[in-house]
Amino acid sequence: MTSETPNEGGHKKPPIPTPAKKIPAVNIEKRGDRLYEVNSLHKWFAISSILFFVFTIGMVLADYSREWKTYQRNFNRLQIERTQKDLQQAAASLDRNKFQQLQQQLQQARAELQQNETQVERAQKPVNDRSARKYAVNQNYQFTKAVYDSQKYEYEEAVANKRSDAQRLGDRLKETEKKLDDYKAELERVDLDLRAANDELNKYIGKRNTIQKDIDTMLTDYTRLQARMNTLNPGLIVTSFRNAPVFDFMAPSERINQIIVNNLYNDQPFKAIPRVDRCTTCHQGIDQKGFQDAPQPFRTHPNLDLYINSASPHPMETFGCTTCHNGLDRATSFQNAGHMPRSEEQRKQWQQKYKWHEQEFLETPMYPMNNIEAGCYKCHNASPEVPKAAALNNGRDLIRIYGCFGCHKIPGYENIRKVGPDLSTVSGKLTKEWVRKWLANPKEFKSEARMPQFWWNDNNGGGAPPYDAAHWDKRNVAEINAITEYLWSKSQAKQLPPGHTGGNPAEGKNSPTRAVRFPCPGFTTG
Amino acid sequence: MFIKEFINAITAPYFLITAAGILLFVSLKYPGKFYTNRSALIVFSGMFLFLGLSVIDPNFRKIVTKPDNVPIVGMLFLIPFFTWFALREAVRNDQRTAEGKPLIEQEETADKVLTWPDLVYTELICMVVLTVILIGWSMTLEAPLEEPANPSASPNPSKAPWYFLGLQEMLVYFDPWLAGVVFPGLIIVGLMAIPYIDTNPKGNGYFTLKERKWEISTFLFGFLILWILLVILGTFLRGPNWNFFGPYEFWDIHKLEALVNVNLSEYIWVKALGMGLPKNPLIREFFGFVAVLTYLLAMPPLLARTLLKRFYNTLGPVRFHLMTFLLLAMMALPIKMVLRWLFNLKYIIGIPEYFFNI
Repeated sequence: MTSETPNEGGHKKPPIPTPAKKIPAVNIEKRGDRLYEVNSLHKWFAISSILFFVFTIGMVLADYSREWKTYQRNFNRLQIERTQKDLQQAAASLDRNKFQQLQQQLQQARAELQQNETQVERAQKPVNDRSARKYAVNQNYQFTKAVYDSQKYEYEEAVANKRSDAQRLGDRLKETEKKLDDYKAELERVDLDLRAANDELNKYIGKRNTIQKDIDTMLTDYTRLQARMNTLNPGLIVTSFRNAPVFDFMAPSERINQIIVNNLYNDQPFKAIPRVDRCTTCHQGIDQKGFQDAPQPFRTHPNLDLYINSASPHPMETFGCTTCHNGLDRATSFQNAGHMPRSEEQRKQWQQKYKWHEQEFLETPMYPMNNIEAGCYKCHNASPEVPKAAALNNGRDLIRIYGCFGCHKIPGYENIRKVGPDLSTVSGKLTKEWVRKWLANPKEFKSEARMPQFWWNDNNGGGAPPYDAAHWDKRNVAEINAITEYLWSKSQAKQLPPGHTGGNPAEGKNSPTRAVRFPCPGFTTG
Repeated sequence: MFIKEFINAITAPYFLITAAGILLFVSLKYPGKFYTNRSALIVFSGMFLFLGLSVIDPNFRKIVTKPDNVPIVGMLFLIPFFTWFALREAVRNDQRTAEGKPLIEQEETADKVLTWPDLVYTELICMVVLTVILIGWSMTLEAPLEEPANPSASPNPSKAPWYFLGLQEMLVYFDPWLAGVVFPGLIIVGLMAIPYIDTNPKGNGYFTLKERKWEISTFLFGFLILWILLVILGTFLRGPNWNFFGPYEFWDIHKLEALVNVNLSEYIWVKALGMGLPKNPLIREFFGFVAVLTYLLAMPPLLARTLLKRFYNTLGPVRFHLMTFLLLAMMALPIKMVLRWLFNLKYIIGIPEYFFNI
């Protein structure tokens, strides 16, 4: 590592090793005095700008086509379809004859009105005048009331603080009160006048109004559905503008729905963050009746009486969804929410349809539907039986009967008696031969034995080949022998109670209990 | 299969670092042969070919295509490219100087570069292109989030941010107080000190290798071999428990490496002198202290008389000693690496009683 030109020292500045005369730069005529040709810079700027434009559009489109937005669009379409169907049904179920009759009556009434046009107009005029008067008087009354309230406050303050101007303020308040009473009286008078005028007018137009009202009553359902239709489908211009890419930052109808779950937290280091369930962003029909047969994710919850409904024991507003179902509360895509398939078949189906894969880092994936009752146990763990959770109850029974808690720690089962028998004197009771046989397959000896088979199972020599049968046989036998020997080494001799030691048949014949069979092993007559 | 195993074997740290170091110095010795268009074509097409073929391997794909590792894969191409570009220009300039022709930079501009459009316009284009890349990147790759942080369960491998993986790799060879405190501090202080030590204005405003061969070689060794290569090693080749895994090897959490490293004191007292270790740590580590102090105190005057004599003459004693100290600190890493690889040397001075290990 030796340099050919030694450092000259820091303080003297050696000249750059080039010829002393100035060299004209190459191609200077074309470039002017610039380093790059401006035209080529323009070209690169144009290319990068176009790319920028394309990628920005791509970014907006990627946002516009987010999974949940597509679902909401589809659900909107589904709702419109159903409302349209309902509308048609409502229209079909109308009593046509009665409707036409009413319409005819209405026209008749209108014709009559036209004949009495001058009288109607004459009756209409005082109604208009008095309405205007009532408005003015009412305003006076309201404003005076506002002044009265503020003056009352000032007066009460003055009295409370024993101020000298309390007397003056009290007088002022009384004056205002009087004014207020006057206005109120006037308002009532004007109102009476207005009613009289209205009664006069009703003589002419009352009939028409009653008929119109009848028609409206007939059409109640229809108009309600129509109004619903209008909110669902306010027209292409409105929807396309509200939910258009870029414009959808203002007041989109497609938006993330969320339920903030009370008292349920995501436990992060140093911070408990409230659960925010966004499931209803896609599961839009979950709380609405009538979507039982709709495709997922729009289907109605299968048990609205028990869940979701505000009158049910588990209302959605307080419980949310992940309380029972688990899953990632804030997720807004099928994959991220932590959906879990209930079967191998569904797993394959999801992999194809949603490109689903199990989430490696999700701590609380959803319970698959066949294990859904596991969610009940989170809260219902104190009662011996959870109503309407058959699988859960069954499973807990099995744990109790088979004594899984003997080896596995299960909360709630700590103080229950263990299911196995006492083996401390086993050598006095059984032979090694028998114990080996029992261990190898308990059910072979007794079909209803509770003890499970531990050897020659699917994963240790009992499964389908290919497996090294000889290896597993050898190993299993060795383990069984080892356990048997261990039991014998720890076992104490059994002190059996003295058994039947013979007897006196002659005495027996005389015994008053001779007709009875005594099952007790220790029974002796001798 | 055989090729994969071969590559797994030659990417082991001792081979990779040594080979890369040798390659770097050979290429700087014969720059005219290495920094040419043709060699760049061969190297880069070779790299693309390697990446393209290797991606077929599931273990390779799993690590290299992780969204976290995108910047480092980019670095794998960008750093060699810029190194090659600068050195190619330097080689060309040196050739021109030898032939008495003007430098490339002098041909490009008479004596100045305009702010507009030469600087600002190109900056604008760069900004637009980078924004495009960032938008495209964020659209195609989701943020690589893992499970919520849990103070009671650290992930394995537990890795620093990618740009600190060079530091983490140093921890293999040195104790935390050195690899985590002293060396990073010296890197920063040393980089800041360079303009005050190296006041040679040669190479200002133009590329050259011949006129600054020693400086460029030292810098490239420190930057490419002792930093970038360690980052790459730490990212792609260090798996669970910080064990080494070849690029096609599965990151098996149960892999074990035999820990058979011993201290210098054991080498001398136990193996050479055939006696037990002395109780007193100062006596026990006597030879280690001698070695380290010799390295730090005796080497500078020695170098001033021999190898770096011309620097002593031009820089003066103060700047020379500063430079040699920084240089010796930098060289401590490769020296310790070699000692570890060759002799399984754990510590030169090992006083765990006082957390003082070198």
